[in-house]
Amino acid sequence: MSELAELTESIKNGKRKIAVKIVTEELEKNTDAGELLAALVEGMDIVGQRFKNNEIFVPEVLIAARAMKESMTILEPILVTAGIKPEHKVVIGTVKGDLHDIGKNLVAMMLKGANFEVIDLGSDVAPDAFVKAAQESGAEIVAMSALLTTTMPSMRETVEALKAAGLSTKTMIGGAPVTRQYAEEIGATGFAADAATAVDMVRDLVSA
Amino acid sequence: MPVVRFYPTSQALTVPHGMRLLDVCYDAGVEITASCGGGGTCGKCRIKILEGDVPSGGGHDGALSKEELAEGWRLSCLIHVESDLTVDVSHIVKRRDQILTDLIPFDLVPDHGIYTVNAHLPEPELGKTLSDVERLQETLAATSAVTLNAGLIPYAILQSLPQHLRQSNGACRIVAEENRILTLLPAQDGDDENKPLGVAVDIGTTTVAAMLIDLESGHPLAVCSRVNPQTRMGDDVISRIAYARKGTSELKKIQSVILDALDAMVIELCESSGRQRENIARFTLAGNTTMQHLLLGIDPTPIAQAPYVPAVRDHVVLQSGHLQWQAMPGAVAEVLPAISGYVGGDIVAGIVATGIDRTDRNCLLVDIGTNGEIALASGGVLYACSTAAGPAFEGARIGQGMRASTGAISSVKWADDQLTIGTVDHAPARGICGTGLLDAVAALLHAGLLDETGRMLLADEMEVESDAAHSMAVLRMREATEGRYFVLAEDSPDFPDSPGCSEQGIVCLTQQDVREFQLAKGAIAAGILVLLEEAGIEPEDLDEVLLAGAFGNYLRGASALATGLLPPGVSLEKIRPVGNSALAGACAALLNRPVRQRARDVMRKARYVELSGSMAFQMAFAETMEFPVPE
Repeated sequence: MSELAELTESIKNGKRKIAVKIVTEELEKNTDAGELLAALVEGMDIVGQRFKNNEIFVPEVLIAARAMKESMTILEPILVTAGIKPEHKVVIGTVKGDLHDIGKNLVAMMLKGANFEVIDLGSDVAPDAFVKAAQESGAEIVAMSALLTTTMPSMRETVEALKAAGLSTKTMIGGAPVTRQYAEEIGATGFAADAATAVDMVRDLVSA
Repeated sequence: MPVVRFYPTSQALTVPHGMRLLDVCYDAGVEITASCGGGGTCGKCRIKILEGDVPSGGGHDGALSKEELAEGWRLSCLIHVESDLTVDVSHIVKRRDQILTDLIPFDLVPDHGIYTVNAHLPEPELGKTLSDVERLQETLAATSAVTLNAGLIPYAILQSLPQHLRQSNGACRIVAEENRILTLLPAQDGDDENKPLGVAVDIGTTTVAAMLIDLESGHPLAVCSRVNPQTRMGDDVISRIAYARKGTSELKKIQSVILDALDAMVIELCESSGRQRENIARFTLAGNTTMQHLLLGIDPTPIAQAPYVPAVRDHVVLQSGHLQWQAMPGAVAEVLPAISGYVGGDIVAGIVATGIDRTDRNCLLVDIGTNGEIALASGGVLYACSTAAGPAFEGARIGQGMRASTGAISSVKWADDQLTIGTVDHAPARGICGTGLLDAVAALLHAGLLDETGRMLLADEMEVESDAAHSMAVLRMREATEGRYFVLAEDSPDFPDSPGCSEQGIVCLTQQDVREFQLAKGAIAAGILVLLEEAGIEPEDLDEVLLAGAFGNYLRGASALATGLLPPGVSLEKIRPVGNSALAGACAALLNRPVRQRARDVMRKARYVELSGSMAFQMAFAETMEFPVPE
């Protein structure tokens, strides 16, 4: 197995020590940082697919994401020097009135793993905070999460606030009680039922 | 107006145009489930259209397969009846009543301050300005050492007092609570049927239970339970709140359905014990904080939005007449105090019923419903939290999940290389209830058919294998395009297909079911770990682990440990089921004033630990979602 394939494998299996070791060694050998990044992203991609197919579950995704994160800590400065940076930015947060952020964190991690720049606003995020972050970052997508049916209206308010601010930012929503129908109803661009689908959705939206 | 006929009961209901079929089912007494609150997503409210025209579009395809649609299956929550229909509801069985009456403190000495006294008032005299009320006060003070507060005499009694006294030549019997008169009765020997009564109620999100109690002896006379009729407005607390916040009329409606149901239950209790509602002196009610708000008609919206603040935590005492319940004119209803928006009077009741508010030992009380409420007593301090476990243990979100009614797989054992299935009423298997789900997962773990990450293993992937486990895997572990599933029972009666299980006539546990289970049990276990950490103790330090509620009462402790629903370190012999501790606590508070005081002390002193947004909880949750590795 080549080192790059091994790197992909280590992310897939959540072996952070091996992943960090390979990245460190390969950088010493002057392997192209972009290729290392691609290998890492491929690993997280497989993780996302397996999650979607119910083969693995949240804990394994978290472990894989941690391996990805630690590898990126080493790789990132090199990527910056080489002028390689994520092409797309996503603002993400749990909407106002809702403190549940486990699902949102999972989506944020998977997006980072797919090489998006993620601006995570945390939980209980007011519509104007979403607007401000979208304006300042120039993000193409604002992603919102809600776990409670009672806080879903905050999604509508956020979508409307973004429009009112004259932003053409695309919006996507998710969370246990959220449905595609609700996304259509409030004029959100997209809906995702789980974290892996959310990554696919973001990819679709930025390339659309 | 259109007529809806039910098969196989032949019951027929004439309904207004446009009435939702789900509501028609409820009105007909069909105990249908609507986990998503009638949102058209869960597929549990499915019924089969035998006659009549209901198009298959309009959202039915979201939760039903093409084959099912072709067979006539539809979602009753999406149908608005416009023309005559015949509906097959033969797949919906009446649930078995599971009323847990153990732990009710029958031996508790009544100390409720309610008593009956006879009085014979002297004739009124010309020249004395003593009113009827004053003569009553004086007589009672002189003959029975009772001090009545004239200002607290119920209006209805004031209205009837003059006539009552003159018809009986001044003889009467009163029932009073401390210095308040509750009712005025004809003077006669107190027959058993006229003894003062009390009603204790546990308002669960799913099930309501009520008990009629003789206040003199403290003995229970009758008990009954029903499905909470608010279920049709949503299965869980959040969807009920979402319904109630739509407007004043919705709030009124969701309140009135529970008030009406309780009224009907009290009638049933009185009829079965030959008592009269006019003799009810007091009601004591406990529920989760949202149920208590809805009972009182108080808008619960803020409970569902951070920072999750209830309108009232303290106990609420009001005239039962405000709730339109028939009882003594002065009867009151007390709703027990709550600890927080998500730890309600039912948990406070459970705490006082089990006495963990008065112990120096380390005691854990876990009540597993849609929310898992957890209380921990350690070092004389009470800690409490609530975790969103989801409704998996009540059968929702599980492909073939159902309540513990006839035909539900309620136990699964893997012993001596044999898989043994037990069902409710020993009927043919139709689905899985909470305890069956727990046992099934434990059995698969034991047999090595499930790894610690929760992945189902095919025969060729198994690492540890007795030959027997291997042959079971070959036989029962199957794979379809939707994923893997494990066959629990074959040759089941005709039961609609479930998501992820493409075979007809079987009851199976799917990979997706295992994932839902992991979320639910992980949330409970993580909540327990966070409270233990807050108290600075380890699972090994627990002296008692008390399990409340129907699921907690019937679950197998060994399965709870094997699956990690209870964290590793808890030992089996410390686990004890405590039945319906909320109803027990409501009874205790009804009968005993010091218990009411303790409930309020619990409200004031308990340390509530907020889990949403808590990093400690998230860390624990990530670990507890996996299964413990057997030693």
